[in-house]
Amino acid sequence: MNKTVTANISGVVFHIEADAYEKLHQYLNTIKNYFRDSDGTDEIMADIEARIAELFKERLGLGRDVITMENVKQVVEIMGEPEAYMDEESSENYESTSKGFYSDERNQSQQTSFSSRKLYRDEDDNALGGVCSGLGYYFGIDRIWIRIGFLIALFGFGTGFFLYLILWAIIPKAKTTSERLEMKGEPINAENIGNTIKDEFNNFKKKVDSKDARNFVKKTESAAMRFFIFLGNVLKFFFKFLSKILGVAFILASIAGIVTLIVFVFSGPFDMTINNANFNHFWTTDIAQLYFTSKSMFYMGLIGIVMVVVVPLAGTLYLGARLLFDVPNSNKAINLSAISLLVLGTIFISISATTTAADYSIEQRKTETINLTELKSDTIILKSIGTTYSAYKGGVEDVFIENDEIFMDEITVDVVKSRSVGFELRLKKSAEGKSRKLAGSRAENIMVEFEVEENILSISPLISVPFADRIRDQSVQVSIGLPIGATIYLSESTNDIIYDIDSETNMHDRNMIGHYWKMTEDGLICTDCVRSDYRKSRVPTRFTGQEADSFSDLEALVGLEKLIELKKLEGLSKLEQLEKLSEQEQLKELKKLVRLFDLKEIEELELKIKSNGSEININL
Amino acid sequence: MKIENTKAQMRKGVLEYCILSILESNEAYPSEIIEKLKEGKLIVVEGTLYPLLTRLKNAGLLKYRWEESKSGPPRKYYSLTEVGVEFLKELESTWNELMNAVNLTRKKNPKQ
Repeated sequence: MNKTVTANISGVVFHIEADAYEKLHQYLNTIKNYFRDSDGTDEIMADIEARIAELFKERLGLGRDVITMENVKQVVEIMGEPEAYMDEESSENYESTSKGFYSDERNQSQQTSFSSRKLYRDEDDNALGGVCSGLGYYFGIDRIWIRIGFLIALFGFGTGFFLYLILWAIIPKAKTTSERLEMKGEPINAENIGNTIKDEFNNFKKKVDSKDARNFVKKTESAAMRFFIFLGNVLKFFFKFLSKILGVAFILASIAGIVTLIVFVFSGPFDMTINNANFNHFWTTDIAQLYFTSKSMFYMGLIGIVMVVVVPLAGTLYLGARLLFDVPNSNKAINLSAISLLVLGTIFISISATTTAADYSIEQRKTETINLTELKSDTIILKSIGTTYSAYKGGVEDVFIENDEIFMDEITVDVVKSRSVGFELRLKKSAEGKSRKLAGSRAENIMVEFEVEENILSISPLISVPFADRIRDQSVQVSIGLPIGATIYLSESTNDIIYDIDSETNMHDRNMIGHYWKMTEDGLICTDCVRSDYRKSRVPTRFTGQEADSFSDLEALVGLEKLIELKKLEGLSKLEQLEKLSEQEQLKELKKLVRLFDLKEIEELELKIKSNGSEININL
Repeated sequence: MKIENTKAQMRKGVLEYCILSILESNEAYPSEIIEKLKEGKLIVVEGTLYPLLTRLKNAGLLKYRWEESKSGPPRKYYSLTEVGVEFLKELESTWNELMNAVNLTRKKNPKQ
């Protein structure tokens, strides 16, 4: 079954099959274009149409009402392609001076051969300004490669973009047929012009129906209309340009999103060190699902996320593609499946999330105290034994499974005053669950590994929980209880485990490592720190001492030795006076002193004191 | 020098002469002219004729009248104008001269 079109050819009505009509229409346009420069075009066309009508009439016999493609082909054969007329017509151009069609180009083409191409922009086959297309012809390669090249260059600080704009501005557009042929590097002769015009008409035909075109011409007759149409064209061009840029952005964004999603699903978001190719395959191990109530809940959540994320990504990609190229409209089936994917994905996520969240709802803490009676010496050494685990990398959050136990680096170690006469370990274990009981038992199940050997206390940076407990925010705060007068040495390995140890000088944990710390009534004091150690502690470049509310705070802020030197500067007499005052008043005075100097000035003064060679000992 | 161009030029001059000759005795519409020209294998495709007729008409050598047709659109019946008749006479004598010239030349230069 074929659709037919009704056409009036020279006053006779014909029913023509749609594709046959298309062909006939193009054929007539091609002829018309041939004769557009000669006198009496309309008359010639009318004659030709009349003859065509006659020929059609002959072919429509009894029971045949419709002109088919076959008929049109026959008629075209009889009438001949315009190139064939040229044969006869061409001679005219040689002997007469009458205005022939394309005679100029023809003569030119015989005198000079256009073996070299010229660079033009091809606005018939453009994505933007036809620059890539033109360049493609010029270099004799497919324009898609040039376009890809520009897209890649876009990433080099946008050079592609600016280069394109410049080329757009400087390369002329191929306007005439001969320019188009020069661009394509084809010799300019009648046959090629004919082919080009035919192509042009085919393109044109696709875009505009003749009826629209005719209306358009009528409309353009008014000058005002012409202005608005010009304005409209400018706007149209601007929006086209904008939409192409948006299209590229959409496509790039969605590709980036899809790549991220793939990496996310197959590699897992944690502990990915791409440079060292150390993918942990987080999702594909058993670890990820330990955060969920069950393996199926984990996969449900993961699939849900993929479903929900994929839809907008695909949508963005599609939108970008539509803005850049001619992509057909999405159909109902695709829309429906996209929506159902979204809905299903959301349901999956919410089921997975609510069941999982419930198992994190209640937190329980358990505290136990262990007396370390084995430690006899009053100086102990704290070590970390974590490095024995091959899977443990330290530093970042880390979880792994070994022998049906889950290991996590959820431990922090503090040093505090002992509540008894000897050394002790206080463990504050906490975990979460959907019930008090479950959370409590999970907390109790946490194992902390430590060793005592002579005067060495070694604590593992990892806690372990049974596999069945899963990962439920288990953590342990370890407090090492030091009896007053005892000393602890923080070895280098403790860097991973110690956390916020209070000392009299409020030194940063990192700086406390490698030093001996003695427990006094006032807290920990360093027994082997030198001036440079204090310097490492946090001293603001401009300190005021205002934050300090005790001597030790002030010391921590300014540094003990600096404080002493400040006192030196003010002279002994003042210091003597100070000593007569109460502690609170001394503090006040010191604060005033500190405020007077910033760090730089102090350092200058320090030098001064040194050059004087004054050796004054002051005790606080 | 292309053989096609030469042939086209020769045919073109003859074509005009032939069209005028066809119309000398009686008027005719394009299809009839085409039939006769096709018999003589002077034209291959019909499209060639229409611009030629239009040009001859515009040059004042031909005139036409409309006649209704049962089998399609109205037809243009072409006939010679007085100028056309004169023109044809000129062409006829030129043709005869040419024929003689060609024959004479060919006799003097037999095939080598």
